[in-house]
Formats: sequence, structure tokens, C-alpha cells
Amino acid sequence: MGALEGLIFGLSVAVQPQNLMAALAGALAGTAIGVLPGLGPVAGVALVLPLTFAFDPTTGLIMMAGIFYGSMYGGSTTAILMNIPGESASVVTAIDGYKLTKKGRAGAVLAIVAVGSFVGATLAIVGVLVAAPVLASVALLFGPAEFFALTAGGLLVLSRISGGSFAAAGFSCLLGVALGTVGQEAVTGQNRYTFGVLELTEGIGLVPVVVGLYGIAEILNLVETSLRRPELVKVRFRELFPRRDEWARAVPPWLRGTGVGFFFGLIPGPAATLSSFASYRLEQAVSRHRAEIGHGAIEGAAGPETANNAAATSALVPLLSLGLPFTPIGALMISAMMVQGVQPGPLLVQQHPDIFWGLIASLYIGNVMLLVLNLPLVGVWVSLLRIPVWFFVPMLLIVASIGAYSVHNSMLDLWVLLGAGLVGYAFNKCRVPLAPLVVGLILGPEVEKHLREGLFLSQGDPFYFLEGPIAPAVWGVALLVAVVGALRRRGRPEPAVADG
Amino acid sequence: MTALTQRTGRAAIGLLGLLLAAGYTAAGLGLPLGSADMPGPGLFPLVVGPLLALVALGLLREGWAMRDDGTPLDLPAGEEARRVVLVLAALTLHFVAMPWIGHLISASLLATAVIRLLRGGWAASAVAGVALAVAAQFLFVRLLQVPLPRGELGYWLGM
Repeated sequence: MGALEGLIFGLSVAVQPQNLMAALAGALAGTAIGVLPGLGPVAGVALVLPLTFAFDPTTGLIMMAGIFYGSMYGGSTTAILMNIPGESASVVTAIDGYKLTKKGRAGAVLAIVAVGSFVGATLAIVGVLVAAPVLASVALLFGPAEFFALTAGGLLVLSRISGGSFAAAGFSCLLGVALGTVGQEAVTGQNRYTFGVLELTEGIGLVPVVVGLYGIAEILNLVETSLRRPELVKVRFRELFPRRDEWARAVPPWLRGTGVGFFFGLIPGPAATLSSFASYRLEQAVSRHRAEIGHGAIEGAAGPETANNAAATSALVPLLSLGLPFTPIGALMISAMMVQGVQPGPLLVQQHPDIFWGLIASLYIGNVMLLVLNLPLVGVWVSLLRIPVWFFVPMLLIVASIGAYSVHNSMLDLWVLLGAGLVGYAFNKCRVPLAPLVVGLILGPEVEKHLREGLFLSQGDPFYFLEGPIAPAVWGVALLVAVVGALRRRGRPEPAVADG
Repeated sequence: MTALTQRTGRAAIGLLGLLLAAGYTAAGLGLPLGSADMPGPGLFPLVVGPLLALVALGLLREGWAMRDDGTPLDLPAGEEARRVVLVLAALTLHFVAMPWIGHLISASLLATAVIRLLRGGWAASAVAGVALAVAAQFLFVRLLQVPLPRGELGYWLGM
């Protein structure tokens, strides 16, 4: 099936009523999650994961993807109107977006950012359509050496570019890998680190870890700091039309942001957050109006928001074609597939074309829905911030507990949730990134599997892992990123943590 | 805010990480290693454990060598710390009590306690807390068919 045929087939899957409803529900829930503080896109998707098991895999994944890109839209709304980024990918948007609000251009910048998000996601979908099937067919030729290089090398790159120090990100990553070894080992059935606890033989669950790290930790932060109610900003519908010069200024950052976002989505790391920061820097460097950036320039909001939507979309390329999640959200989507008996990887496009093409086509439909619904409803979204913290905190605690418990109906998962919440709270305080821990937890078992398969096939020859052109090339790139990153950072302050 | 700095926090995580890595490696030594061409379940933990110790040492070194510019750890103090500790305590008790009294009652108590802490007034908190727990129970158990613990009390009361 070619890209065009695939897209048409995907659209036929995506417009089925249950899938349209899932995309709409996901996009609306995602926007709410993006707007509200205390529940970012990762925790939001994790909470919905157990509920998606009631649907077929395609519908469940469409809903999860809807929450992710809906939260990208929602996060920018409060960043622009109130200088409160709803999620980390909107932090840089707040710089110029809020200054534009102060200048009375709130409606215009909201419209430009919404259209930019749509442009970024739509162009990135074209890239995904072309790249994902090609990469999937190439990946069919991959053996354990190539997959070992991609997974282990990917974790190395992730540890370098997640922000914080290399030791901090590496520690987070290896802690995740170590947690991934808990439970019954797949080849021999040997129990590892279960200490006689029967429930531990199934391993440490991804959902309680993610909801704890991102959800409980953020709730504790909310309890600690923000009992103040923010001042709400009103935007009238007629204010949502930018001037002609503002439209003209937005086009170049949209295109540059799409390119930056698409690239960051393909590499390991918290793509949405990193791409928005990279796009902002690019605008500071090349924009014709660079002198205004930081003081309320359209480019400073249009570029990053386009980039994070493009990145959220192109991150599907490694996820769908290789079965390798390089972001926490990707890890959750892989987990959803596996629970439903769908094997992610290069064969997904052949064995489950409905999931592969349906998910891609639903991104397009979901983005149209968000564009149409979000701007007229901006007042509704902002009014969500009226929900008082005293109501919000217990509601989130109850939902988080139910979400963690319901995956395996296990009380142990509730204690994992609590432990992960404490770890997340401590890591946030000490600027240790969380994303490597989550990705390490899901990729760690993959690294081990390919390592053992490779040693078995090569009869114990370690040089097997450097055979062929692909594995050495992947290792070369990973080591280059690690070494160049170390040299560039020498003497500089530690970069900010990017966990989106 | 307390006087603890980023430097102290980084060193503390490094130290805890080092202890964890030591324990993880030691426990992994008891697993079958296999051979080079037929690796056993003990091989991978034996690679991961020392690497974990290495990065934990890196964190300790950072804590040691980091220039102490006084960047605070931003730990809560006073009323803020009290709120965080009490919410954690309420959540812990919720998990302890759930198998005995069931999710509905346990969640009602959790929500009541947290609302009382953040808003004040026992009676209003109890009404809001019970309403919140009943709404969650209806949504998840009735509508979405998620099985939640009824607890021994739930069976006894027929809930």
C-alpha cells in the first residue's frame, strides 16, 4: 500500500463513528489537560490508558494521540493569556505570547498559534506518510545488532539531550532500566528482584510509574505552591482575527518551526519541549524581526508552537515503523498496543494497517477539530482555571489511584504510584529529568532482549554488534552526540530539564 | 524556604543511588550468568548495576564539585510543608484502608481530609468529599465497568 492509498484507507478508518468520537473526546480532554495546571500531557495520557482497553486498539490509540496534541493546543492558551504554561512545551511561548497579550493582541496571537499548530501538524503528517512506511520496510532487514544499537544508543542520546547534567539524566535512565529488570524474565522464566512478592513477577507497571512521576509529583507541587487563583483574561471572538502584517510575519516561523519540530520528533528525547526551545532560538537567530523577540514578537510564539505540534506528530515515525518509543507518551502508546495483543514494530504496517494508517489519518482529523473548536471556545477553556485547587487536588488523587489500580487490579501498583510520586517530586526539586526514567523502563527490556539474541546468534562474539553499515553508523551518531554535547557544555551552566 | 541547596540535593540523590546500585548488583549476583553464547538472566543486571553505580558516583561528584551559588532546593517549609506531608499521609492511609473498607468509603475519607486541609470546614468538606467519591465511583464502576476494591466492609454492607 502506497502513501496515498494508505492515507485514503486511514481516512476510511478514522471517520468511523467510534474513531471520530475518540478523536473528539481525546482532543477536548487533551485541551483541558493542557490548560489546567497539575496534570500535563504525559500524566493525562497515562490516566486514560486503562480506559482505552475497553475499546479496540485503533480507537484507544486515536484517543491517546488526541489527548497528546490537544494538550499542546491547550498548553499554549494559558501560556499566552496568563503567562501560565499548561505544559513544558509551552514555556517559551509564554515569553512573547504573554507580552503580546499585554499589548492587547491576545486574540491575534491565539489565532496565529492555533493556525501554526495546524500547519505544523499537517505538514508533519505528510512527512510521516512518506517516512514511516519506508523506515518500516528498511527496518525489516534489521537484526539484533541494529536494534541493540538503536535502543541502547537511543538511551545514550536521550541521557545527553534531556537537560540537566549528563550524570543526572543517565542516573534517571539507568534507574528506569534497572526497574525494567524486575519480574519474571522472558527467556528462562527466572524471577528477578521479586523478593518473594507474587505481584512483582509481572514487573513494575508503566502506568503507575508514569502517573506517579508526572501526576502525583505535580499534584504535590500544586498543594505546595498554588492556592492562589489566577486573574482570568477575557478574549472576544471578534478579537481573534490577526492583522494582515501579523499573518505575513507568521508564515516564515511556521515553516521553520515545522522543519525543526519534524527533525526533533525523529530523534530520542522529549521532542515537543526540545523542539519549541530550538525553534525559539532559531527565530532569535534568523528572523527578520529578531530584535523584537523577547519583547512581544509574533515570531516568538508562532515558531515554538508550530514546532511542538510538528514534533508531536513526527515522533510517530520511530514509534510506528520501529516499535521504539523515545518519549514517555510513545512508551504509553506502545504499552497500550502490547496490552491489546498488538506487536509494535516494522511489521505493524502490514499486520495492522488499520492501526498504522488510521492513527495517522486521525491526526489530521483531530487537528481540524482542534482548529475549529479551540478558538471559539477559548473563553470556556480559560474558565477551567476557575476550578478551585481544593476540588481539583482530591479529584486528581482519586483518578490517579483508579488509573494506577485498574491496569492489573493490583494493590501493589498503588504503592508503586506513591513511590514514583515521591521520586518525581524529589527529582523535580533536584533538576533530575523524568523522561529518561520512563523511556529506560520501557526500552530497558528491549536492550536486554537484543543483547542476548545477538550474543546467542554470534555465539558470544561481541564484535557482532558492530557488523554491517547500520549499527556502527547508529553508534557513531550516538557517541558523537554524547561527546560533542559534553565538550559544548564545558564551563557552561546546566541546561534546563525538558520533560515533555 | 529551608537553606538546603541544589548541591546538597544532588549529593543526596547520588548517595542514595550508590546504595541502591550496590544492593541491586549484590542481589543480581545470585542470578545465573549463563555463558557468552547462551547468556543467562544474571548478565544484564550485572551490566546495569555497575553502570548505575557509576552515574550515581557522577551525581555525588557533581554535588561535591558544584559551585555552591546558594541556589535553593526550593523545599517547602512551614505551612506549605505541612500541607504536602498531610496530603501524602492521607493518600497513604487511603491505600492502607482500601482493601478493608473499599474504594468508595476510602476515597470519600481521602477527599474529605484533603478538602478540609485546603479549604477548611469539616461539614462542607465532608459533603464535597463524599459527592466527589460517589461521582468517581459512578463514572468508573458503573459507566466504565472498572472493577475497584469493595473491601471487607463493602461485602459485609452489601455495597
